[in-house]
Amino acid sequence: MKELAEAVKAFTEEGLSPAGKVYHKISLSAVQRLAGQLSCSIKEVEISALSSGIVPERYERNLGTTGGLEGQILLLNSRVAVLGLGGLGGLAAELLARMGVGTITLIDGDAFSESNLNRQVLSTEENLQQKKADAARERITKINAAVETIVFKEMAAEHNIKKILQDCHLALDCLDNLETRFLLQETCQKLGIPMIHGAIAQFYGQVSTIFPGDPGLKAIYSSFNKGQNKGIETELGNPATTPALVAAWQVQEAVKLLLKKGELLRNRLLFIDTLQGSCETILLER
Amino acid sequence: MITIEVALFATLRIYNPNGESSEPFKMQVPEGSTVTNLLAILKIPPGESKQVFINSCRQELDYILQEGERAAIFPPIAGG
Repeated sequence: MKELAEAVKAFTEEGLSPAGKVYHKISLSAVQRLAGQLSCSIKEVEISALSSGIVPERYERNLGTTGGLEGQILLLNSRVAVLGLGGLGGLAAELLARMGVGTITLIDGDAFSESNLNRQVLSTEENLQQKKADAARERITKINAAVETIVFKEMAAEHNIKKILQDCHLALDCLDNLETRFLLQETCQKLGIPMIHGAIAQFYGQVSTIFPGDPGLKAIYSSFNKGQNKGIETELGNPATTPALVAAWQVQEAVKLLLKKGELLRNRLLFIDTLQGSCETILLER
Repeated sequence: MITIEVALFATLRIYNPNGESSEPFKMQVPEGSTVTNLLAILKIPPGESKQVFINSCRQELDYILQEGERAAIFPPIAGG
């Protein structure tokens, strides 16, 4: 890959950050050209550039959050699964791609319907009936071709969930039913990977980061049983806004977790009440 | 009697005796009252699903409330 590193240097330009700092950058078109010329992936070119202290311009505003070039490399080498590609998962997948998370596994067996248009950012009047996982892959490829996508156009269930999550560093729980959410937690526990839970109903949303061995969903939904698979959202519906709030918070947790930065919402439940205009953080550890 | 603080979140705010709100309020309950007793005093129907946190820690319905504790009660939300 010495050849790649040399080629990257030849395309390097000087850039000026908003803070007035000079830095070495490489443009998207140069990255695309190099990938074509040297028959390697966009991701490989970007990682090679970052390893030589050259910033792919598209990530310039990420670096304050990632803690520099090393953090961006870490994100590009990360593999995250998004289970459920509706209100939460559709936006979460897009935000992960914009941050430059290098491999995203997309899981949803559903196709878009009209009642999704009010809140699911991947749905449009033109793609009704399209599988959500296909729409997510198309959107991600348009936003960031460095991202590798692995697509499962089926619902996560007992028979496939281990296969879906294998090799993932982290799972985002963007599901819409308790049974699969609990199955996800159980599987993550077996595989030894963390998950980030998000859920919404009307004016309300919640987020929690769950590591293997944590009580997690068992503490949040103490009254769960097979008969109760949904929450108050079945009666109250979901608007455009709360899925976006919660998905954004889930992705921020994912980025922090992958970069080992800050305080995670581990053993804590963040409850967002936009009607009251308040956030509560509740301890889940007993 | 003991005095506790209660906050009713999301849809449970309608059971606030001082008017619909999630603002915490103080109330008195008989000594030895459990969470189940508290829910009955607040007229929250037994069938309505809820999660109860005392001083920010989840507790079961048979938990016995203590003077000065804060009870936060939430409905389950699970949409995606």
